[in-house]
Amino acid sequence: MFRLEPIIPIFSQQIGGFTFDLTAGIVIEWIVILILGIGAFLLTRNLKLRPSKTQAALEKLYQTIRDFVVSTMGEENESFLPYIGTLMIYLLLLNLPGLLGIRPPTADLSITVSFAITTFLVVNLNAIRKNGFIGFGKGLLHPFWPMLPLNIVERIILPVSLSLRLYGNMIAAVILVDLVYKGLGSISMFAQLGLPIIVHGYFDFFDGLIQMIVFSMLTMINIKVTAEE
Amino acid sequence: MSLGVLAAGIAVLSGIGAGIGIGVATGKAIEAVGRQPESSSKVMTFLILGAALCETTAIYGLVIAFMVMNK
Repeated sequence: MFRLEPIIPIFSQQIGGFTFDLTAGIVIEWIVILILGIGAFLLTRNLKLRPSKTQAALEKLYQTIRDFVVSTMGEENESFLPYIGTLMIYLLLLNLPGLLGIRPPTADLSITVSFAITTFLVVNLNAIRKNGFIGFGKGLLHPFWPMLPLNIVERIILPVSLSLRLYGNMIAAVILVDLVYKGLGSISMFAQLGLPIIVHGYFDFFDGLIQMIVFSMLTMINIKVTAEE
Repeated sequence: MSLGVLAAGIAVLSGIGAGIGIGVATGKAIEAVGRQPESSSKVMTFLILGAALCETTAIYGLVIAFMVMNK
């Protein structure tokens, strides 16, 4: 029978009665951060007015993300472009390690919750910055005061649903790919060689891309809507 | 075989609603694009958003199924 296996920490440390677990997902996150940092440093080292080939490709990527952000949030919120762009590239790379046969870090609830908390803080702090504390409180009382509990629940449910959506999709992809490998392995060892490419393409690449778009789009829409309320 | 497996099967039935929801949303989106092809990029945005929101219920069912399966 198939069960959800617990995530085994590589390294565990007790500090003041609190256990710090270092899981494989966190190590992969660090590796991705390292790759992105070094890549960004090397690729943007010598930018010129007349772009070379790599610079043209980078500008195309930047322009695509910028158009996406501006068309969803409007020109006045363009200052969120660095945050949303980072989120998109980072999440996409975190969703893809399944292609290499590594369990994606986003199939771990604690990592998706960390992303969702970041979004929650950005959404609410931006609303406070735009409207002040009084405006933010008034937004919670929006149509009339009995709606206060419902509005608070609405704010809290956003990180819960964001993290569960990403986690559920990625864990489902991991389990289904596993099942396909097991099923093909029971036919013959050679059946595992070429056929799973289709499954990987759908569940790892397409699903990872769609979930990244959904996560960043919900972040953008919530930043915009919460600030306007 | 424990009762947990049966419970997990029932929890995953939430996928029916999500499937119907995404089907309706996609059908309406295609209808809208068929009427006004120039608004396809805007319709696409709302389609992805709506499909994501529909899908959430199925994911909740899946997560609950995992939780009750080991009981």
